[in-house]
Amino acid sequence: MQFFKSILIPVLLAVSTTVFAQQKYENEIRISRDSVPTKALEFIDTAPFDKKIRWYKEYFIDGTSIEAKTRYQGKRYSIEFDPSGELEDVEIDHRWRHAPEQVRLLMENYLQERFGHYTLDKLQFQYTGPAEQVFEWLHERLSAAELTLRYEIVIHTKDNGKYKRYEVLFDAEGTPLRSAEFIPKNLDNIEY
Amino acid sequence: MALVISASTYGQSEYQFGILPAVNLNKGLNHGYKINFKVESRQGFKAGLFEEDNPFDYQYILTDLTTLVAKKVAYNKTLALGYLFRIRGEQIVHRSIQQYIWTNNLARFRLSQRIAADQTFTANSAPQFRLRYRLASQIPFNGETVDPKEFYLKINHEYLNQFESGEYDLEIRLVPFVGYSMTDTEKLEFGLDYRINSFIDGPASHRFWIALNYYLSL
Repeated sequence: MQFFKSILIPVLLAVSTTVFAQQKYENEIRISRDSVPTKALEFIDTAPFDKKIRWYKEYFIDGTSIEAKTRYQGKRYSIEFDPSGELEDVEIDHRWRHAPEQVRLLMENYLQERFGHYTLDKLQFQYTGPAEQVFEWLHERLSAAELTLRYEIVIHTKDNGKYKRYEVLFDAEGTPLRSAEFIPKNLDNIEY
Repeated sequence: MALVISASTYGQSEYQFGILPAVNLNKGLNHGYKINFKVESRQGFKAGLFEEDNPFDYQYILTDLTTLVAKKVAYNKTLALGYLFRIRGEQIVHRSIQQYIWTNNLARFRLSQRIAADQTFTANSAPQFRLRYRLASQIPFNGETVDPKEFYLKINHEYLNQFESGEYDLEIRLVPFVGYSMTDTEKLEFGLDYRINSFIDGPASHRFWIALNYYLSL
């Protein structure tokens, strides 16, 4: 544990300084099946999902994506595609304790060092890989170990006197890959 | 809400119907402070008992000028203190306001809760004290968050406990709005502001206001 604190954390923090300049703007609209690229529709229609699928188009600062959201085996799934319908990743909501303890400790240490006091809002396991492999894994014909696993975390914290929300992406070993600060939504009309 | 409006007392109850336009300006300040300024005008069109056939009778009722200074005390929690200045004909009303607001980002909508207290002072009248709880939800018609150029549904539900000269009264408000987010800093809302009180020990008093709210964050 001392090794992590004395060697790894400063290295991880140094790596992160370039990454933390990004901002993330959340803007998504619900779309109908008719607006979904055929390739994405085919993937979802042949996947083992048994609950209603909601389709969204997400707008980012630098592009768009198509997202299918559903519940499967008691968990929230988000399946993201690029605008042409190519699979990008599958994200599954998890409780914090579901992440492996060793990785969790590394992520906690990093977040603590970077933000001080913070609150975890969301953890998603993000699986990426060739579409055929992801498809096979969803059908439980392939092990998750064949895919690339990352952890996408949303936290909120107080930074220089301002309350902020961040998304941080870690690899399977708990190394931070990238992060972005959310551009906050205006909520004046439900507060006053 | 409908539970408290019993059919037997509805006919004897009094009502008031009118409009309630409001302009709401918000400005962020340093160190997590924010100032909110609201102008709201109340104008009546009809009033009387439900059983009566009351003619249209335009009446300017009052104007409220409210200033709140809010401070974020946590990521989703805000403390606000303020003052309302009411002009009602010749009468001037002063009200001090304290609010605690917390907002939750749920998967498909935003939920905001507010506990508030206010103290109202008017010349030649006993002071009135109120303790209020409001639940407000904002549900986008499209997607999971309200984005610019999108419509949304906003529903406020509030319980107001009123104490005046040792008397207690409960007022309940139900306020459904349809809103439109023009930009992230400008919103327009239109809906019905329904208020009922005096129903605990007598015929209820109902007020129906057609409300139009404009929000601008500077």
